[in-house]
Amino acid sequence: MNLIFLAWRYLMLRRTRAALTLLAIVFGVATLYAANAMPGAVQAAAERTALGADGTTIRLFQGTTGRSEPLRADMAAAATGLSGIEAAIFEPGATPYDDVLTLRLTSGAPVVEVLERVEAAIGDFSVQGIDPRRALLQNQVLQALFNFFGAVSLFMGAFLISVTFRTAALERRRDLGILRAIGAEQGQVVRLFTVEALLLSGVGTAGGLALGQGFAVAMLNLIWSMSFHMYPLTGGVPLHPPALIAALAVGLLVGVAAGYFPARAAGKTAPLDAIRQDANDAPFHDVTALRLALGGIVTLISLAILLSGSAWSGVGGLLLFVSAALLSPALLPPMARGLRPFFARLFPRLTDLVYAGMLRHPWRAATTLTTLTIGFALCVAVMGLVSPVIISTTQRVNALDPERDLAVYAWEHGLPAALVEYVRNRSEVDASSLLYRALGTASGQPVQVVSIDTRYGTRLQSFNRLLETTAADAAYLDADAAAQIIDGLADGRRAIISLALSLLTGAGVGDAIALDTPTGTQSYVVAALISDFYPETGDRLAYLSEPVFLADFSDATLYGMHISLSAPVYAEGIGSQIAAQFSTPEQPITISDEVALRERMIGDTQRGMSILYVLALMVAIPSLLGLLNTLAIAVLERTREIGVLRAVGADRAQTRRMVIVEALLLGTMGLILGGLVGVTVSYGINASLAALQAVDAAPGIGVPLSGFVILAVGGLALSALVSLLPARRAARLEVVAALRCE
Amino acid sequence: MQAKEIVRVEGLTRTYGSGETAFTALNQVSLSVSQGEMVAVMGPSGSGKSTLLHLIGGLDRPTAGSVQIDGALLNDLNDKALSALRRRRIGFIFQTYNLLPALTARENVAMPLILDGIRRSTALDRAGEVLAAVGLQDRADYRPTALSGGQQQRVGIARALVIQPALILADEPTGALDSETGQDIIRLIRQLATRQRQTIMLVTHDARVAAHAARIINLKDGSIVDDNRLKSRQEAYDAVPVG
Ligand SMILES: Nc1ncnc2c1ncn2[C@@H]1O[C@H](COP(=O)(O)OP(=O)(O)OP(=O)(O)O)[C@@H](O)[C@H]1O
Ligand SMILES: [Mg+2]
Repeated sequence: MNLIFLAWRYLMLRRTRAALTLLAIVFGVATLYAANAMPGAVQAAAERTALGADGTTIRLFQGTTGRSEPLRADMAAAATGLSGIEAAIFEPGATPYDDVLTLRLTSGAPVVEVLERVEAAIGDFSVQGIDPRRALLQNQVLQALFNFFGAVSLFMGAFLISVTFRTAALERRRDLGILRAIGAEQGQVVRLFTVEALLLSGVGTAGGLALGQGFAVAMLNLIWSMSFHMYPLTGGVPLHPPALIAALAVGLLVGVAAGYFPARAAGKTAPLDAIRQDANDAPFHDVTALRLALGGIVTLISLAILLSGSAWSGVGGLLLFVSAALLSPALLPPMARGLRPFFARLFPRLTDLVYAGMLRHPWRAATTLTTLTIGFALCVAVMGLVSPVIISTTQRVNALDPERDLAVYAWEHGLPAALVEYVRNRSEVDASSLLYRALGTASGQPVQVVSIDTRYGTRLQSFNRLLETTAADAAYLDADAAAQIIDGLADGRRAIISLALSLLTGAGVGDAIALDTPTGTQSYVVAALISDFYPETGDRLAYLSEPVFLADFSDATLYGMHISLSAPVYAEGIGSQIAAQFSTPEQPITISDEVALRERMIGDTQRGMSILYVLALMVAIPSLLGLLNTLAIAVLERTREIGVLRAVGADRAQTRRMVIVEALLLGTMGLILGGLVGVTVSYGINASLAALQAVDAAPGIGVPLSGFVILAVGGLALSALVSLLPARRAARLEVVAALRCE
Repeated sequence: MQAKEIVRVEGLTRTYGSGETAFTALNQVSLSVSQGEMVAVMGPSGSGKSTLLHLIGGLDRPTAGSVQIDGALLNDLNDKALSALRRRRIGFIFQTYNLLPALTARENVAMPLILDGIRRSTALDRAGEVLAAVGLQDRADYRPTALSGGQQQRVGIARALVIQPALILADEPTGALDSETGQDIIRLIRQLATRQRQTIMLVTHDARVAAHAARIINLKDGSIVDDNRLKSRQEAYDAVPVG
């Protein structure tokens, strides 16, 4: 089309502006895509993990709640008839403590649904290993949070893109009027704008998708790299079609629509009106009674949802963001007036100018306020969600009994013999056991085989704790039971195996399992099953008693040592002494004592929660970009005005400070409004999480004072930082050139 | 033979605002202009001269009354037809230039042709010729911000002339020019116009400019106070109110 060159010319002429618009689109789309693509990948990984390598066999035990009945043979019959179940076998006395009901699912059956059907038929039960229902519930909470972020970023992206285009279109009303005056038809004008919007949003959306996929990959790798919620999640980072479509739709449609509608409006007014109208004053008539009423209603609805503590609090939170966007043009003038005395004291000479400039273009200031509000509110909300979890984890960890145990590991290289000697000679050492490992093979797959020193049995508490925590998941091993099994392990060739190995070989408790060893294929009776997830060792595991292990595996590595001390106070000191003497960068030795354990638990929680912070930042960055955008546009638009100011005597430094003070004013208002919105949202979400009993969080505000302080200082500093570029631009303007500017 | 009527205005009224703040800038104006006429519109500042020209040019909609251009009743035209009329039949020269800052002088001039679907290269060539005619060949590739006020005005004139319009509406085309250049420009417009029997309506405060016109319409407070058809240039000088 003939007009493409004009569209192109506009883009080139206002390169800064076009670049800012492009950035807004890129970040909007990237955030949108990443926030919506991650949940799917996490969900898929959680399902895979919850179900083990092959989810077709599930073993049920009597439930642990008060209303649970013992499992009975007739339940197998009841379960067999259900859809999704190929066979159900009742095994009385399958373990020393419990009867077991084994379900074999038809391949591809939806596990959670099948389990729910079984529960409806036979009542309460517990599942060996990780209960898929529980795993998915926890995952649903995570999912809900992700969805919340996804929705907020959708809103933010759409808002940012439409605002940027709208500003650009309004600014060009005059040009459109001129074009119409010399004979352009409405359709031509609209097409011109749509082409330009399409160029920008096309390029921006493509860039945004690439950046978004990068975001998603980085975030998911972060998630994969830590044992999130005790489940080691793994999986690829596939392109996520629904997120892709959503991001494409928002990037292109919002961009084009935001270019189309103002252009159409401009095309409809008489050419002369378009030429005459001050681009920025006109749309402020938008703060109509209708808008106010709508904002009020949305606020009320969202507060009602948020304070009810229902599962819908995420939706309530989102609505509150929407009402902030609706009401901010109305809230801006009174807020600005309230802050005026304060700013007048800080910047006596500039305040009048800044206020005049800002209130002359209240619509633009209001959109900046909205983006800042959303960004800050998200940061506050995330703090409100995260800090209670971290605080409660820390409290729980600190409440643990002090321990007398110490573990020393060198998984790769093995422990030096001198270390073993050193430990055994220390007088504080009460008992110690050696840990060996070797690789075996079962059904053609490698299996990690690990030794247990049964002579020390339950005296080695940290080892017991390993069994206890995994046993808690397996739902049938208590401390005594664990001790009994360990004591019995040396009684011939017996093994404790992981669920993954059980699923691989089909062997349950009491069955025999065949392992290829350096001394030939040996058969072991399965004494117990434990959960898989012990990060150092991987999925397929078999524990053998030390004598059996040493007899069968001649190629063993001494990878660790459990040490029991005569008094808890020594643990930390001995650990650091061992590290100082024997650990080298090439052959590092990991000391696992009480302090390290606590640190690791707290660290895991913090790392897990940091994902939420990263998500919040991902949405907050575009809001700063919004600030940059409006300030830059403010300077561009006011070029002439700045020229006049300079002509009547303002110096460069004053011009620069004027822009910075405007940014600070907008930042302050954004912090106030964002703080209010964020606190409300986090209160609501915490209340509903507590109601769902999904995490051990109590309803409450949850945002620490220090968090507010950090956010306020950081937010203002970033606002000022963002304003530096446009401020410099304003200060550098040459008076005459600025005055000539249209 | 009776000359063809190009402009016919009847009972033209334009009221700005409404209610108490309503202000009637143009009140029941009727007039008729024939092909090839050159009409100067004069009157004190705020008397409604620009308003009249804008309404005749189809840039603004009247509150009451009608405008006919070459037989076409503007009130009846839809946007497409009105736009086509503007870009094919009417050349408008604005008091405040109204150039597109994104485009070079040449592109600004070529714009009406491009909008009309003429090939870009052809349009740009034609624009170059008209720019040369107004003496701006060496500034053709400058943006408006790099041009002086008078130079911008000449670009605006070139843009109005490039389409060879039947009707040229010029709102103080020489307002930003020194009187020598102003004279040159008016002579130029006239020269180009008479060759094609184009009709010119121009607003001016300058007696020397008005003197080129064979007819002078005087506006005051939104109404025509007199409408003189003149026989000679001397008569024209005399007809211009002094001061
Ligand atoms: N958009 C508008 N809204 C309100 N009043 C207007 C508007 N445009 C023009 N007017 C008023 O209408 C009257 C006529 O304006 P117009 O521009 O036609 O005057 P003019 O004769 O061209 O004056 P000048 O010689 O100064 O250009 C003026 O009093 C002006 O204030
Ligand atoms: Mg005028």
